[in-house]
Amino acid sequence: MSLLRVRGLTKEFGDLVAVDDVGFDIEDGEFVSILGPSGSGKSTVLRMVAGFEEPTDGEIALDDVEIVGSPPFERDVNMVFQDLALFPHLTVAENIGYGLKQSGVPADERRERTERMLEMVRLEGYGDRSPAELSGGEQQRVALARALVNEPALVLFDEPLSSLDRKLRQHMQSELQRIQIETDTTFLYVTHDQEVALAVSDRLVVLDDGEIQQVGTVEELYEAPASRFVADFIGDVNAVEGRVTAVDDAEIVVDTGDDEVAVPRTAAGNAAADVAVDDAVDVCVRPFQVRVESAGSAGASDSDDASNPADADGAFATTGVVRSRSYQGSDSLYGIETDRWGRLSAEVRSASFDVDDRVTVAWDAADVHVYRRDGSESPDTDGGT
Amino acid sequence: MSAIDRVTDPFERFTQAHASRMASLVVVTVLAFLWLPIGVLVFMSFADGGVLSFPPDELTLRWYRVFLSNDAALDAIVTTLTISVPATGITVALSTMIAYAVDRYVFPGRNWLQLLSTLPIIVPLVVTGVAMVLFFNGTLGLPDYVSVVIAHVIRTIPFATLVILPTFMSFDRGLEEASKDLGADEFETFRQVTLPNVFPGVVAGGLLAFTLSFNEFVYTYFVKGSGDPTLPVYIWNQIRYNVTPEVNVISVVFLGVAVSMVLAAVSLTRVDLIARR
Amino acid sequence: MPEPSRSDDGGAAESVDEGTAESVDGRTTESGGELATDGGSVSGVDGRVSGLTTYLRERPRLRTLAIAGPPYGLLVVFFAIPLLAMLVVSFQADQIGGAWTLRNYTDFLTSDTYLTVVWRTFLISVQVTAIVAAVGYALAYSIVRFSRRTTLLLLLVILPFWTSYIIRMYAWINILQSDGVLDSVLNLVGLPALSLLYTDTAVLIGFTYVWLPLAVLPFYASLTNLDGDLIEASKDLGAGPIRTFLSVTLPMTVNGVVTGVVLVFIPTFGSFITPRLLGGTNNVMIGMVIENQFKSAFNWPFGAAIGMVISVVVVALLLLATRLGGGLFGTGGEES
Repeated sequence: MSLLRVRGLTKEFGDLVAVDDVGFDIEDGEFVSILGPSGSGKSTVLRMVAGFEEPTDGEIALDDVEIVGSPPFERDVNMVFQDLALFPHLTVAENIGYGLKQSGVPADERRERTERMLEMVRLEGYGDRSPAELSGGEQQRVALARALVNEPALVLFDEPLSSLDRKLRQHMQSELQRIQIETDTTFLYVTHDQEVALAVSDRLVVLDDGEIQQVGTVEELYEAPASRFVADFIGDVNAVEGRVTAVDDAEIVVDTGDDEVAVPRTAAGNAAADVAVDDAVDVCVRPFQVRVESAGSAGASDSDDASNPADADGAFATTGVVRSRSYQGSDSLYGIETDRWGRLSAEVRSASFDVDDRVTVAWDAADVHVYRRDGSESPDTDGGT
Repeated sequence: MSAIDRVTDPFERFTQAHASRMASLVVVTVLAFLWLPIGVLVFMSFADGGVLSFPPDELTLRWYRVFLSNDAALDAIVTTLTISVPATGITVALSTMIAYAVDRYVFPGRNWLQLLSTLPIIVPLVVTGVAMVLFFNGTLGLPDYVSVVIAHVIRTIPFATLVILPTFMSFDRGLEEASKDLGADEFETFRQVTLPNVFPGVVAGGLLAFTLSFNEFVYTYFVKGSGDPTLPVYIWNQIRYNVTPEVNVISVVFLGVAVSMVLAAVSLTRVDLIARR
Repeated sequence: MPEPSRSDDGGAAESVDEGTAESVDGRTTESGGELATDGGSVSGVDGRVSGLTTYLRERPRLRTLAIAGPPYGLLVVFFAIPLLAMLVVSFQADQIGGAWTLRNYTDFLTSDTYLTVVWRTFLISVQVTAIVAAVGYALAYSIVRFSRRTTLLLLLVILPFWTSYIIRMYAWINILQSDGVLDSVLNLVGLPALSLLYTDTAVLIGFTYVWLPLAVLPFYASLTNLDGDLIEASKDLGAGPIRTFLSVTLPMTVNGVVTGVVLVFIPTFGSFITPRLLGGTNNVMIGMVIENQFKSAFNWPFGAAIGMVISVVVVALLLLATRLGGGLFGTGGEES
């Protein structure tokens, strides 16, 4: 039995369908993020779980009890709001004790639990201050404590970290994880920031345009994105246009120009790729999986292979010129103008190239994901990009 | 508008060079214009010879003593208070309701409500005063006291609403959501979260309403019959028919009341927020 | 259709269950998971209020009516209807309930005396408005652009507005009368006395004095909202301070100017206190004529007719101002 069960959740605002038939489960003790661009409906989902929006259709069950229709103050969930919504007229301790007061917890117990919470979020001695006197990070902690102290079944987060600078945000991320484990509480976190979501979550729900794109662990989403959207949204991706020339249970043969490459259907990806012969497809590969070698080096003879990549045992390859380079700590990110597929990016650890160097670019067919392009049912898609 | 044009225009250059000094001159001159008459008034309340002698031969508290033993003036103050206090209470309640309704709800006539609550500022006082005396006294036959209190409420509602509405609008509704999320129902949320946060604005609106009502003249002058005059009407009669230096003393009392009320109101809100309306 | 303007109310409005309510001593009275239909299961004042909240939560129309209704009703009955009643009375002869007639209007509009008074009133109002707008704008501009302690200065400007109108007039009587403060000071420095009281100048000074603080508010507000970068951009692009003012600052604050002009012109046009106290017998304004009808001539319908004439002038001016873009009715400033 899942702690939170969402089924067929739909929310319409007039003609606008903000959330469309969304369903997912959250298990007890999980840290789940709903990730999506702004306007994807992720906050609406959260607000329906909290009780601030009534679904047009669908079910939300908490601990197997249907909660749609009950007001927010009767739901066993608490929220950390985007702007935190700390009560400015109350002290930090009064803010934290507010929920306990509403449920009739006696004053001394309230004080004790508030004190314990302040310790948990490392704000001992801050109880008598006003929220306005605290820094952004400290206010985040108060908001978190205010939700956690009620020991709700589920804590909701509406992008509370988005206002913090990068460094503080990363610190708060690890604090969130620590506190989630220490309190053994279930967290549902909404954000548009894939970096945050990847860092903190056990599982992710990717939402776009009101619809679920994929649900899975961070690894699943990164290594086997279910759609071009997910691939783009979670990490960077290179896309090469192609056309399917043959397809069976074992492999998908893709023509990316002059050549054909057989992409294996493995467990990690493409196993479920829904493509047919003659479909226009995107062949996607992560920058870190792209190999770059100097075209003038010992492997120069490979450059001839590049014009005939199909023989390189299931690899994609071409030649190109380095156009840009940016350092990213231990790696370098290169922008390479390829002869065949336009501009690609490659993340390279050891080798070092300069702008204008001629290079060969290659990657394994086993590393790519093939997605049918939208509207590709009609064969004559424009060949742009 | 070449660069050469620009640097050779003497007026532009002069203005650019002396803008700050010109601004200071304007501020000092206008503030002097605004405050000197008030200073004169206060000063003259201590003049022994009264209004007609400047500079006075001697400073004295004589007129203050005369004022304190003048039953008519003191009665006028009491009369004013018996009108202003209830009028202020009613105004605060109604203005808060207007602010809440306009801020929270969309309903038919919402724009009309806003217009109606602003209009008394715009319609010339003498026109509204005439309309009121015709309708209250002529048509409805309301008792004097009731007419005057209603007139004061109409007079003060626009100003109180002007102050209270922004405090509702700037109130973060997210706090109410947070409160409900933490288990408080609508009423508890209003009592524990909304009210404490809008309270300063409501009190400020009340203080300004009281000040305005305490000073109200035109409506009162038209609507009120021949009974006990309010303080402003009393002063009007004094000035028009028999000027005595005692009026200076009453003026100082007035000023004291008004200034302390407004300062209290300002300390509760922010004056530039009121202005920004 | 009354709808909550924001969505959270919408969510709450449909829920029926009233679970808990805090009673006076801070303890919670649990009503379990049952439906507390009208708060019957909780006790005490809070309980009843909670019951009422629940009752109203289910009836948004009633809730809106309960809150907007009373002030709405009061303003309609005691403000809007009296103005309409005045219109009716203005068509009656001699007294309320008199025979229907147009005579009040024809008498007024064909009388050279009254029309001269209206014209005089108009001229004085225009002069006052021009003076107040110029001085008030210069003041607001100086405060916003060049002063550090803006809040204090603004406070010093508007404080006099909250003192009694009559007392502010009385202060000027002290100053302007023959042998008053002004004349005495002039005497001390060897200049001739002016005896300004009971002249047009006195009336202008008086009006300027009372309306200046009022007009500064909208000027100040619009200047504060003006992005200072725009002024610097204009100067950077080669316009001097005067041209910048005329081509950037003034056009961008025109709403505030129009609002200030309306706030000054309208009450001046209807005023009777200032001309009565500071003006002489040659300085009659239309407001004084109305006052006379009610305080000495006792021809109420005639006074009502003049009131209507003033109102027409005012409404015409307001429409003009709205056309020019005054934000006078932009109250609320919220999406609807």
